[in-house]
Formats: sequence, structure tokens, C-alpha cells
Amino acid sequence: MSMYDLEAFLRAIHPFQLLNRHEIIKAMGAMNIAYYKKDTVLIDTQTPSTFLYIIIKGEVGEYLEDELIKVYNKSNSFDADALIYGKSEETFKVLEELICYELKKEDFLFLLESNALFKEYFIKDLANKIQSAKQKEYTTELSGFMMARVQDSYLHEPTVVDKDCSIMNAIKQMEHKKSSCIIVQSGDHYDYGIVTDSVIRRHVLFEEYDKNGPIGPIALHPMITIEAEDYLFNALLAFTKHSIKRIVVTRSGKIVGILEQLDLLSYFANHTYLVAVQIRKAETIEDLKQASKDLISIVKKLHVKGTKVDYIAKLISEINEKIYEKLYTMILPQSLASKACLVVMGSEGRKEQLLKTDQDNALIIADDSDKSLYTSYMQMYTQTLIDFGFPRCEGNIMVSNPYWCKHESDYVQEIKRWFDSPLPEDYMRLAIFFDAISVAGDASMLVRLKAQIYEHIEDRSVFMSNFAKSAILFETPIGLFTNLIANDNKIDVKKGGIFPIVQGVRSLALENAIQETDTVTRIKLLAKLHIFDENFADTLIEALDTLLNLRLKERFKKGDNTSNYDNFITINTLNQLELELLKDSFKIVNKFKKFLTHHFKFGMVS
Amino acid sequence: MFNSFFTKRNKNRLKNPHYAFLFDEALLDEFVVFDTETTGLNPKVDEILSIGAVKIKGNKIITSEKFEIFLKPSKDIKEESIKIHQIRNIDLQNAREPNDAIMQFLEFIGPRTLVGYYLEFDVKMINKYLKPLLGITLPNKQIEVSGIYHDKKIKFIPDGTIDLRFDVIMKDLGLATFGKHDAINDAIMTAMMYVKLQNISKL
Repeated sequence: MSMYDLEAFLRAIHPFQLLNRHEIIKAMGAMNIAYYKKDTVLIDTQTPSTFLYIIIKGEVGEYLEDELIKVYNKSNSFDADALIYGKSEETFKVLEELICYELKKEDFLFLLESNALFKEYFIKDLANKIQSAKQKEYTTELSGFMMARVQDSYLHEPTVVDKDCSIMNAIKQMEHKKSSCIIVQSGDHYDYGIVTDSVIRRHVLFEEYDKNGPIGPIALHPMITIEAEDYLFNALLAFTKHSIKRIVVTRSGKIVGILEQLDLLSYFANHTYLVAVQIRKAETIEDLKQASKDLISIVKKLHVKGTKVDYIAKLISEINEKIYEKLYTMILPQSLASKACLVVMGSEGRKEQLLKTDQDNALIIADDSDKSLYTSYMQMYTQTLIDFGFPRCEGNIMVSNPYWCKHESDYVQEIKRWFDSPLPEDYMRLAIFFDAISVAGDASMLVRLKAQIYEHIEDRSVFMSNFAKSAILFETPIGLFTNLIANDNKIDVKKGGIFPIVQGVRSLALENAIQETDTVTRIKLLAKLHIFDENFADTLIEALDTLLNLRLKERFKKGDNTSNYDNFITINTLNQLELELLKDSFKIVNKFKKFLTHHFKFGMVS
Repeated sequence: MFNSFFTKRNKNRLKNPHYAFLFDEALLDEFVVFDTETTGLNPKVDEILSIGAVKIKGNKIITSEKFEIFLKPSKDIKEESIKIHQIRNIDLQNAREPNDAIMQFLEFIGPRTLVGYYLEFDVKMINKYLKPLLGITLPNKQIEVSGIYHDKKIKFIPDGTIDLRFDVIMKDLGLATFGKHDAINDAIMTAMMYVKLQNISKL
């Protein structure tokens, strides 16, 4: 194609018509034509993408974990995301032999930078993709990052001083607020200026500026700022462009905080980090409560962005763990804290909990420590968590209950009794204790107690059968003709599917002495042990994910009022795809129940 | 044996040692595809009006480094040839002196193997200028695209005649012909033919 034809070809492709003549000529000058045979893999999760491909002829498929999710053909381009983030969750494979233009990554990024409308297209395109990905119940965390705004990130409180403030005084304020820079206001010839560590180092150490002198003259100005409404993505570009490590965030020109490059990158790498910073920095129970509140809003954002439910669940569990741990160290004196082990159990131990569910926790106290010293602290612990919005456990499985707050040796005896002469409720106690993980204190105590359980479990087929039996206690709400069985359009997904999977998998994990506590990992390990095949493992994981996701959606609809949370979903509000997924999930649950019935020989026990 | 003899003799005649690089070992996976637009089809009397060339590296056509140059004709272009190549006299305002253009072309191709469609004609046209200029003819290896196409095609229709027209080959290879025929455009399309032919075993 001649230059003229190429220009016409490019201009016919959205969004290249947004480029001005100079930019389009630059783009054309940077492109090569490439030929690829069928089945060539152009981009995958391992191979970093180096080109934007624009198809002249042929077809390319985009695959997510072997599933074809999109087909590109003539005049389509791909994959801007892979270039912007330098990584791809998807694989791009040639479906029909391909002739395409290749625009080098750096030239593409240059165009993004030089033309705002062009860039906006790719950002908006991403928003559309998120929308379509949500229907497929999938998106990357990366796209979340793209759509997030500066105000969504953790902003450090700024230390603002007057120009006459002494440098020493300003540094003290900065230390106190744990901020990393000082903002100087209304200086000579400037409204705001900034003083960072390196500025202080240069002036005070190298140029021997008086550390008690006014800070005004050494401030750098003008400052680089970004509006709180702006995309985080733009903040990242600003960091790179100006090679700075922090940026002052303004709202309508007024300073509202400092965005640190580290936080931004961590946000990119891991959404939890921001709350983790707040948790770590918390000095009072009130600070911690605030961090805990922020948690819900993060989860909501993640959900809106379509992130996989088991990822969200893990995230929340990790943050919750940090809150439990921090609160434990805040409430208990050091001498007592190290002589005990705080564990969380049940769904929290399995990292399956979503939003805030009941407190399920226990305390193991070292035999040589006085149990009575802990009582009042543990009452306070439970009470504070309730105040934070973690509802009281209906079964009273909390550290404030003496049954779940006792010496290690008492637990050893109790575990023995659970196996030797179990009361009906002991199966449930074992079940939730088996899911325990330690979050604070001396973790070795829990390890020893788990070892006790594995010792008892050997050759207990009747016990195991009774233990596992509750997995098939409830009817799966699906009829003979794969019709959903609902009551007033409502279905209890916990009884109908989540519990059977969790309990069945837990039983198999107990039988095989699997130490991991979360259900998905347990399923994967069971497949490795050939308890069932990997294919089945995958469908079981998908079914669980679907059910948890539908329940989470329902809970989000109910808003912040956690007391309204239940396990029902309303089926007439589901779309066609969700209904199909729900039916499929229940079919898989039924298959799993059949497997359990056979495996644990439920027919033999009554 | 004769080939190397002719090559040596050709090299011996080279007037300017700077261009000895043309005789270097050709790169294995790099090729130059080129095409010329001329005032007519007789190398003896006709002149080159433009040269278009593009490199191929592996399966990629390096259009980002393409070569396109216009040559000053010794006399005004005749009406009938303007109708064919659509190069008007006014289009040659920025044209180069022919020798200057040829030398730039040599710098671009280096020792690479040349690829073209009815390449023989284009090579003859270049040689027409090259011979008086440097005393040599183009020493580069040459690959005829229509020849590769013919050989792949003939296996399946041993007794038939094969249509070797440019647009017919393009269509048969499933390549879209877009844009007008000019030197650079034809060079790029020929490059596509070549790359595609390298990647298919049958037609």
C-alpha cells in the first residue's frame, strides 16, 4: 500500500481517524507488515506484547484460559491493554492466516501520549470490555486499576506549614503525620511549594542551610498536581513523565492529600495494600475501625469491576486477618498476647467469607499462662469487633465464650472426646475447628492441635461417614427436568449448593489430612491425590464460584445493612446467562453428592 | 562454476571500491523487493521514472524503512505512458538525478537477494544506468516471484497453462490488491506474494 492508501486504510479504522496528519504520518512510518501462519500465538501470558497489530487480512482469536472470547478480523486492532500494562491475561492466536500491520509498542504509547482523544478511546474501550467481561463473570484486576480514579487510591495526609515555619519544626510535623513531604503555603511568589527529603538533604546537609531557619526559601515550586477525579492511570504517567515519586492531589485546586508512587504501584499490584497501610498505621481502635469501613467500599469497587469472587473473598479475608491481628495486639498486653493463639474458623478460616459474616473465632491459651487473665480482654475483643460491624456469631463461637477460650491441653482433651463419643453438635465443632487458621499470637499451638486431629482421623470410616453426611442433608433445588425449584422466586444457595460443596470437600480434606483450609485449594489438592479427576475439580470450583458470586450480588443489592444478609437469591432478577449458570451449578452439586454418597458409603450409616 | 566466474569478472570491473559491499555474502533471511516505473518497456530507449523497494526480514515486510525515489527523465514524459503509470511531469519536480538515485538504491539493497515480479526487466533497467556508472551489473542473487508461483502451481495442473498476471496471482494467493499501481505499492504487494509463497506448500 502506498502512503496515501495506507493513510486511507488507517483513517477508516476507529480510532485512528482521531489522529492529526502529523501523528498519522508518524504512525505509518513506524509500521511494518507481517505474515503469520495459522495457529501462531502472537501474545500470551508469558510473552510480553511488543506490537499493536492491525489486521489487513485474516482472523485472530482471543482466548481466556482456552476459551475463545473474541474474534478479530479485517481492520481490527489488538491489543492495546497488553501494551499499556506490559502483560496480558489473554492469549491471541491466529485463526486464519494473517497479514497485518505491526505498530511498535513505543510508537503506540507515543501516540497515546500525544493525542488525548486517541488515548481516551482506549481507556473507554476498556470500560466497554469490563462491561462485557462482567457478563462473562471475568475481568482482570488490571482493568480495575485503569478505571480507578486518584481518589480511590490511598492518599497520605499532607503536612502543610507556613513559609516562616522552621525546617526542624516542619520535619517534626512531618514525622508525626508519617507523611513523606512538606507542603509550604503562601510563600514568596508562590501559593504552594513542596519540600521533600532530598530537598532537605541538599540544603541542610550539603549547603549548610540553617535547620532552624524558615522553610519557605527552600521549597520547590510550582508543584506538580493532579485532580482527585483524574484517572490513576494519568497519575502513573505523571510519575513517569516528571520522574517524581509523589504527587499532590487537589480537588478544585485545593490540596486534599499526597499520592505516593509506591502506593500507586501497590494498588496496581494488589488492592489490599492500601487498606493494609491504614491498618498498619492505625494507632487507635478508632483508626482501625475506619480502615475496616474502607474495606467494604473496596470490595464494592472490585465487584463492580467484575473481579472473580474467590479473589475478592481472599482479599477480604486477608484484610480481615490483618484487622484481627492488629486489634489483638492493641487490646492484649504483650505478655499475654505471646502466650496465646488467636484463630479464626469456619468460612473465615476457609477465606470464603464475603463482606462481613459472623465472627467465628477462638483463643488457645498456653498451659502455663493464667486463663482468668484473658477473660475480660476477650470480652472486649468480641465487643469491639461487633462495633466494627462484624456481627456476633449466632452459635456463640467467639473468644468471649469460655468453650472457645481455653488452655491448649483442654482443646486436646476436647478433640479426643469429639472423636470418641461425639454429641450431634461435635461434628459441627470439629468441622469449624478443622477450618481454623491462626491470625495472631503463637501459631505453633494450632499446628499441634491440628496434628492431634490427623492422628484421630485414621481408621474412622464410620465417624467420617457421619461427619460427611450433612453434605447431602438438603435437597438440591433442581428438578428432574433441570427446572429450578424456587419458593416465591427465592432459592437458598447456601443449603442448595454452597454448603454441600464446602462440607463435602471439607470431609474429603479431613480424611486425607489436607492442611489447607480454603475450599478451592482443597479441591485442587484432592484432584492431585486422584480422589476425583481434574476436570471434575474444575467444574466444582466453577460451580462454587458461581453460587458465591450470585449470593454476593444479592448481598450488594441489600446495601450496607449487614443484618439483612441471608443466603437467598431472587431468580426472577437473574439474566438468562446467570440462570443457565445456576442450573449448571446445581447439576454439578448433584453429581458431587452422588460421588460423596458412594465414597463415604452413606447407605451404610443411618 | 560459471556463476562465480561471472561474479568475479563483474567485480573486477567495479570502478568505485565503495560499492564492493554489493558483492558481500547475502544475508540469509533478508531480501529486498523492488519495482520500477518506466517510460516504456524497452530498456534500450526507455528510462526509469521511479524506484520503489522494501526489505523483507523473515516473515515481516519492513515498510517502516521503505525506499521510494523519483528520477529526472531526460525528456518530457509522453502522454500514453503517463496514462499507464500516472506519473505526470509535475510529479517529478522533486526528482533526483538518475545516477544519484541509483547510488542511493545501491546503499539500500546492499548485498541482499533481490525479489521481484518480472524482475529481469527491472534489473535490466537498473543495469542500464549502473553499467556506465560503476562498470558493473547488479551482482545480487535474484528471485522471480512469478517463477515460485508457477512451480508451486504446476504440480497440480501439469498440462495446463498458468496465468501469471500480477493481479491474478494476487487474487489466487488471497491477497487484497488495494491502491494504485506504483513502484512502492507494487514492491510491497510483491513482497506479500513472496512471504505468502514461502509459507505455503501447495496452491
